[in-house]
Amino acid sequence: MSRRLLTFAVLLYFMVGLGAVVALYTFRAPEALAPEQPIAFSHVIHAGKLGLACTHCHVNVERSSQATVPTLSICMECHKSAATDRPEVQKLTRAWEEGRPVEWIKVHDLPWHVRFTHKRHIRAGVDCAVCHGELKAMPRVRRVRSLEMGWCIQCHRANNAPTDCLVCHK
Amino acid sequence: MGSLESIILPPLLPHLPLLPYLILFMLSLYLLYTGITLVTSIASMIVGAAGTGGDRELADVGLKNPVAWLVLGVLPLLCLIFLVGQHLYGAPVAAATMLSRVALLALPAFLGLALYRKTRQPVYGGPAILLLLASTFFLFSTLGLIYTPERWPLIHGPLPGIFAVSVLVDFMTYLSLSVVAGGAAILFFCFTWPDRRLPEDHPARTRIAAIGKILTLGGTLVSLPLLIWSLAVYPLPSVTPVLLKLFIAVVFVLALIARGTLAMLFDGTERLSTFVFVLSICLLGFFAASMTTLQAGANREQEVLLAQSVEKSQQELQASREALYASAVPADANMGEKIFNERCSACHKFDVQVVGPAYNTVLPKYVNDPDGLMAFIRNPVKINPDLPPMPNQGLNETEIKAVATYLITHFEAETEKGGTP
Repeated sequence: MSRRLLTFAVLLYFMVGLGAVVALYTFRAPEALAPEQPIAFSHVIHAGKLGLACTHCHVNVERSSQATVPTLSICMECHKSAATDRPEVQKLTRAWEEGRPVEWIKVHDLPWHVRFTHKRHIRAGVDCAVCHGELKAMPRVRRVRSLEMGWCIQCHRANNAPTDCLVCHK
Repeated sequence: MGSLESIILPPLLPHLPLLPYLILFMLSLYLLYTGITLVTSIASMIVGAAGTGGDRELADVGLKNPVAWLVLGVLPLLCLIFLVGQHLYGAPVAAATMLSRVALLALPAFLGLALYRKTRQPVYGGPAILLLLASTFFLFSTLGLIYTPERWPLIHGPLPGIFAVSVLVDFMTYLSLSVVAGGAAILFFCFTWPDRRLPEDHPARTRIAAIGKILTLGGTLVSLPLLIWSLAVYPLPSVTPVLLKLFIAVVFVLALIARGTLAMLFDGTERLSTFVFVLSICLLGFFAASMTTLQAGANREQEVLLAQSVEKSQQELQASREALYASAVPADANMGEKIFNERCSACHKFDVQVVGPAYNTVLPKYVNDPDGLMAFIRNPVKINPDLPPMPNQGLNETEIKAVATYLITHFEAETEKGGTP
């Protein structure tokens, strides 16, 4: 093989590799873990600086399978008068006044065949951070756990929780 | 938690932004030196076993200078233990203790390699290389654990998560990049570095040059698929745009090294040794940066928590100083008014309900019970179901007393003036 052809082949190999790196990154789309929300709600302020307990806003987490995103009336309990000069709070107030729900983008989503209940995990003493990470340090919520079956099973085994298929699958 | 974590102090605020750079610097030094030493020692042992000559020269590449393995191998590793420990301060992972186990394996390995360089007996070199490989694998298993926080609550035993796929791929990628750096170091030190350059009539000169070039070129070709594989298996929260840029830089540098080495292979010269060696240093630097980027991506919240805890501990220190001062001076209404304006007035007014109730409606019951008011401020509970609960304000005893005194005094003064309670 001639010198020029071999050099070209090696450089082509690296160019294809470069393309593969970029394509793989785009395909895996890590940015999708932290979508931009319609209102830039910050857990750093509410759960971190103000020290509000998670149940202060997620009022159903201890008694329902869903943690539930707080209703606007919960937000407005404080924001009728607190931080009303902030643009993001004004967006919230507008939605409240127009009777229009804020269309939050779901960050922690599970496939339809998984049956997950928050209340059982909370009652078993699992800290929110185990599955959601350190929310009080997240200016924008991002998914930091894989939420894959292997990970769930590892934790169930470590804590002597049931591992029967039908416990978690429909 | 490991034993080392208990003696590590939290970082100070100005020190905090420096930590990732210090970790990157130390990791780059360690990975570069260890990689070169590992590959050149293995090459030296293989050449020595074949009896074709050149084993001393190859061993000398990484081990000739006795200070180098101390300054570039041992010290960066020891620094890394404490830097990583500080960076993950308070996180439920005993990273410093695990890194200290890496050091326990690496230190005898470096000593064994130094003995091998002196004697060139495989009885020292073989176990030393195995130990260094084991310690490097354990280093990557620790780094892998650091950038996968979801495994932290599941850590059991002294060797957690040692066989994760991403760890294996990281380890193999590092070995292949080390082959590139080792080959480039052979070319640089044996053919360019003035003090160590081989004489023209050296019998093993051609063989050593061929080994250097083949290692460098082969390493670049093998590294590429491994890099792509690693990008496919890294946990998603640790993958960031910075990592993509670093990977692009690594592939670009690999292509340049391959191009330079090919040119030298065709020419039969070593004219680009310096160029290739400098690029291979950059290569390992970018790889170390990608390791720290993975860590930073996975533990982005850790930096916010650290900053918050540092700020909180400084505030506590300040508050304890103020309390010490205030214990000599009785709590006064000025201090109470200041706290009221800073902490309470956003949610409370005397005459109207804001977020919380109007003081004039709730204070009458505390006029003869200041201790009750202090107990409420100390530990607020929800009383009125129609209003949100009051967050704990984190005041110290002197501040609580001062603000309670201010509220009651102000309320009584307003009432006496004829205001409407």
